[in-house]
Amino acid sequence: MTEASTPPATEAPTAQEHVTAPRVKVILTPVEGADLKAALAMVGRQVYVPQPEVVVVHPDPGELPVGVTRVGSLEEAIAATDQDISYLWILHSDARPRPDALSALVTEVERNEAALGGSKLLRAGTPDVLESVGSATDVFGEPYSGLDEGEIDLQQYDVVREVAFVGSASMLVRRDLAQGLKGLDPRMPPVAAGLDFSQKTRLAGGRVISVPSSEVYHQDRCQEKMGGWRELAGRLRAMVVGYSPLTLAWVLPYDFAVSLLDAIANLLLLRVKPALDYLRSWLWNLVFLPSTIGQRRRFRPVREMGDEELFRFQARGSVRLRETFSELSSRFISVFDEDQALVRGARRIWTAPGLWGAGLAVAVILIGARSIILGGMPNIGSSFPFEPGREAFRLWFDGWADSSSPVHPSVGVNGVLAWLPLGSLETTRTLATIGFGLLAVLGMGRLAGRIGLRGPGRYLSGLVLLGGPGIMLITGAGSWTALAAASLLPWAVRTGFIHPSDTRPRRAHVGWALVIGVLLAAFSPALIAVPLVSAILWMLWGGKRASLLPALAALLGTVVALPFLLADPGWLVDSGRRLGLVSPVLWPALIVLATVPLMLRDSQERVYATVGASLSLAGLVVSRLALGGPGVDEATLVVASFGAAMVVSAGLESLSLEPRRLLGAFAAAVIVILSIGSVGNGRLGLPEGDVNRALAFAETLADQDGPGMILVASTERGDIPGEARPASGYWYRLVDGRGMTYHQVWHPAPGSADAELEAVLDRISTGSALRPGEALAPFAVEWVVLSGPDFRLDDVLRSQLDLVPTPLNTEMRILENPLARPLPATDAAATDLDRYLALGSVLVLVAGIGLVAASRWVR
Amino acid sequence: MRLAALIVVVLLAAAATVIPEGGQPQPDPLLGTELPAMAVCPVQEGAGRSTRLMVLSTVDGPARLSSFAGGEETAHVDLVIGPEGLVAVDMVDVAAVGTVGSLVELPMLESAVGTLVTGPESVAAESCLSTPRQEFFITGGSTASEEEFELHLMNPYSGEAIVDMVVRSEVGIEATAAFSSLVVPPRTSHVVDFTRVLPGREEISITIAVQKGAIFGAGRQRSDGASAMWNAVAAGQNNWHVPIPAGEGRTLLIGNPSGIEVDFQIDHFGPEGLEDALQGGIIEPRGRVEIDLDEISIEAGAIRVVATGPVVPVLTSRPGLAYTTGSDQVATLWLIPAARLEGVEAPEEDGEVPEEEEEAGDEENGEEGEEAEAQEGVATRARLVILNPEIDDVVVSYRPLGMAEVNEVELGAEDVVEILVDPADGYLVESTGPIVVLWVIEQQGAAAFSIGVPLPDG
Repeated sequence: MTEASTPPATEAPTAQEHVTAPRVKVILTPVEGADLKAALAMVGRQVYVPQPEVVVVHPDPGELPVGVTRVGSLEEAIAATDQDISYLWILHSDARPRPDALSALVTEVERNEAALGGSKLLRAGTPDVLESVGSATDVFGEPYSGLDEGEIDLQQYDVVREVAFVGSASMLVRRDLAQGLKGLDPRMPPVAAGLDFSQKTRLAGGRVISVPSSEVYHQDRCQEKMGGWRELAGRLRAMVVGYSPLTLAWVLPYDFAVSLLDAIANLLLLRVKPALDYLRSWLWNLVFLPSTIGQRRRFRPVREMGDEELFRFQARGSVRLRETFSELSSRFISVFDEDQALVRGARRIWTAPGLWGAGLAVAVILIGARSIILGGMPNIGSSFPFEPGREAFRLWFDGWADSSSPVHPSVGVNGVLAWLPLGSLETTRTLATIGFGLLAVLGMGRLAGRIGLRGPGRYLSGLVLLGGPGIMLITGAGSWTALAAASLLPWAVRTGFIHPSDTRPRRAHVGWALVIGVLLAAFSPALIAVPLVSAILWMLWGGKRASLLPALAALLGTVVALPFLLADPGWLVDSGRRLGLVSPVLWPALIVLATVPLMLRDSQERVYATVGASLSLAGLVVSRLALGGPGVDEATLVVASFGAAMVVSAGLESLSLEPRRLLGAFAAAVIVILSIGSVGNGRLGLPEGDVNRALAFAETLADQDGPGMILVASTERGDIPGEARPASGYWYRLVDGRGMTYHQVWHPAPGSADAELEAVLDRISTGSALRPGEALAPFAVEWVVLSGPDFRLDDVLRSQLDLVPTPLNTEMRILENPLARPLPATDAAATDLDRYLALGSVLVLVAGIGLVAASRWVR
Repeated sequence: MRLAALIVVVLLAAAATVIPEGGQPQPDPLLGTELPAMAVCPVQEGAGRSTRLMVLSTVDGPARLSSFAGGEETAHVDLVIGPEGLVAVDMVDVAAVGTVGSLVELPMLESAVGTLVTGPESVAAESCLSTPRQEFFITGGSTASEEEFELHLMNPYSGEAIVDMVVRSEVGIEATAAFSSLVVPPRTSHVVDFTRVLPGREEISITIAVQKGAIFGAGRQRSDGASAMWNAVAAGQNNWHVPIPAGEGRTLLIGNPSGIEVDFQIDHFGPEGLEDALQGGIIEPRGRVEIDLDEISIEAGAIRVVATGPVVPVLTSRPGLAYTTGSDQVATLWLIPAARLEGVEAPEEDGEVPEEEEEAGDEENGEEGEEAEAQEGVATRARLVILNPEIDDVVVSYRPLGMAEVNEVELGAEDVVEILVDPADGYLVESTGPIVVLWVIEQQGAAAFSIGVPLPDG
């Protein structure tokens, strides 16, 4: 805005002003179907001295009034303009200016030292319905007027202001500029031509203003005849002519993607034409590319400003998409919203960048889970079917049936999930997996939101949490548990950050911390330290709003994992059992690139990014050092992704052309793209495969005693479902022939039978056991399955007497042991300590829920 | 604080980049391999032939003998070797099995099994095989007139075996579909009758490559009622020793299992000591050369075969028809699976073959010698031919298993001795230095050779 202008603009010029007023040439451009004589009459009624020269651009205008001349083209008209003419008023022949329109234009353009001024356009034949008061655009040139449909002119926009462009229906341009730009692009329709001309004007150093005091009624015949795909094509051409090569390098692919998305969205609205329009516009531009390049060359000498000048008045995102999705959501919401209360707000919803990010992230999650949705969950790595609820709880309380060794604590959580009425256990597992994906996105968004971030990155960072530097490795190795733990981690960390506007009592936060702490520790016990570490780092790096109490309370959740950890501490500390997954060195570089520019700013984003980078890089360092067992490996890799997600949240918080900021955003964007590549494999990063199906022959061929156990061995650790044990040159484990279920992923604490089996396998591995089937029979091993490349066991089992090779699978070597005996029944029971700890974890959970409920009740 | 944070982040990033990876966790180190304590023997029962298996061991312990055919174990018997270190089993007492394979599961590796097949006019002996090979070789077969040759492939294991055979005779490589992808089902013997498949060939050599599974092989040659049996052995050695008993009609066949030419040289250990590079030449790919040992000496001696590539030497003798493969090992301890044949009469005294007998052997032809023996009432005699290939003198002690009496003989460097021994089902030969031992049995014109089984030192 420059200044209020109404009074001077509406005043008649004084005699003195007449003497000094600049000379104007009116150029009437033809519009098919418009009444040229009426237009000339309106021009003739203009109160402006000296009387403007009038030129009609028309090949055959018929009889013209005295003093009105004809030219063949606009360019010709401009070129033929005398030096003593200061301004050209380019006017459509379907425009009907008020008598003072020209005077107001000239006055305001002069006053504001503008190069181009546009009139306020009102729809002809309506009670002052606004058509345009100058517009902003998005980066693709799509006009964004901010006007509601049918909005009446109540002088609410009557302020002279700089705008991105003005319509070509009525615009006043400096003669020298017009001659430099050689007028409007004749291949463009009116709006695009106006946009193109306005852009060029601004890039040439001129100001473009909207002059509301200059009112022009516009019949809009030009739009009727020349809208649609031609406008799209014109905008594209305007982009190619106006933007620098660097901008074009990203804006054209971006435009193509937006066009595609918009076309798809319109197809959902049963509209085919937009898709065809996009196609035609791109084709048109391809055909006229030489002409466009010529235009670009012609404009180059005039250009004085960079693209930043254009970006100044551009709206974020895509106006087209926003409107289409707004309509889509309106259609969807209207099913439930008969009075359209929500629909009225939907348009504004789509202008929130955070929600854009959320929508995109959720879409990626759903697309990334397509194979799971369509084909079911993989049964590989540590992703295996849940036990039925009752069995899961029994296992959680009593441990393994044969040894009473405690099971992984997440078995109990899965027991709860299995109780939910979501359908079959497989459906529950599928929904839980997708739910964890969505929970991760939502969790990262809410965590960043609590810090005060509102940009699109806060939800997009959820994709990094699910597919970032560490977790892509561990889920790629089949760890469903890591996926679940990762999705809970931002929620657990969030309990340590309290929003200034949050008036809930502290006990509510502590309650949530207890609940989420139990759940997080159940899936990944070592991660329970992360909320506390995050809060400490946050405070250390100068952040506010953090509280240690909830983070400390979350630590109590560890009680749920204590039986498992006490029975098998090697899971945390035995580095010989580590997963051995190491992230590529590209990731630290990207994290630093995304973080360092933010660290030079003074904002919450800086602290947030610093905490994230510290966590992520520390996680990557620890994973390289191989300091602990699989539990530590799992936690450090999840933390690496979590920290990277925090960095991305901050990096994409707001987009700017400031180089350092741009570099940070670029690195953050690369992290997001790489993460999407990992998440987008159809299984949210989990690998493909079904071990249970591959081993189903055991159940099929079982006798009345059941299928017994399957000894799976391979030199490739990844071929072994769940945890693997080392043997002489290979990995192995026993798998239940009925199919592996979730709790079997983790071995029970090693016992004497495990040592005996290891000794037997060692003897078999040396080749000295002529009857390995007899040796394996006491362990109920009915099948031996060798996977991966041939190895020692393949060699030695070629020359033995009692394991029978079978052709059941072409990819694995399967041998049957006819001598296998069922395992003797045991009546093992959990220790009292394990049961007390299990009950203790229930108490912590109940206490947490109680605190949350109590705080709500008090409020 | 901002600077501190920047430093921390950059340091962490540097650490995450430069710290070497912890590496993939590895399974336990690979254990060394051990052979299973077992042996596989070809067995023939019926048609006037019977088989006796001699199970020898340096330890007392249980053993198990089973025969396999048609995919299953057709019979088995549990054995106890006992303190004598020997148990002999006549297969006819186990089952009437025909031509099959038999498997002996032994108490430990320091054991040996031999098989002796006797017919109306024949005797054939060979040590049983204990190690399946991926590629093995046999040479010496002939299907010329009155000659019969068959290859006995034995698969005692639970998985099927598939083999490809490259057969070469005097006419070159024999291309027959029957020789490729030959399936030997689990627990089954497969006899390839070359008399039918390749009649009229005098020089058959076979390279057997195992494509799948594991297998053992032995050859059987028959001629004029006599028969011989010898093992197909691993085709990988180029240094062999072949003790040679005194007598006539002996030849040495040296086969080349590989697909390239091989240069070879033979050294002779004889009465005159070691004669280096006595002969030499080139063996064609998959082919063989034949060396008339009588031309070198009719006395007991030994041949060392050295070649530039893998070769397999086979000692043969006619007309008694005896075959055995040489030894690619030297050892100080040998088990000699032998056989106490019916009607054998022991010589009056163990010991080196008397000079006068050797001389008689020099002067008389074989037939006349046998007649003389028969006239003297010595229908069967057993001999050990012991070679000391090293440059130090050794003292060799030998005893028939089950007997307490131990005999000793001093053996000079690079010397050979031939000793008449009491007929027994097995012998234990010990020496103060590495030696090679061959056992010979002769009975009424029939003869059999068998290289002993070396035991690892210690």
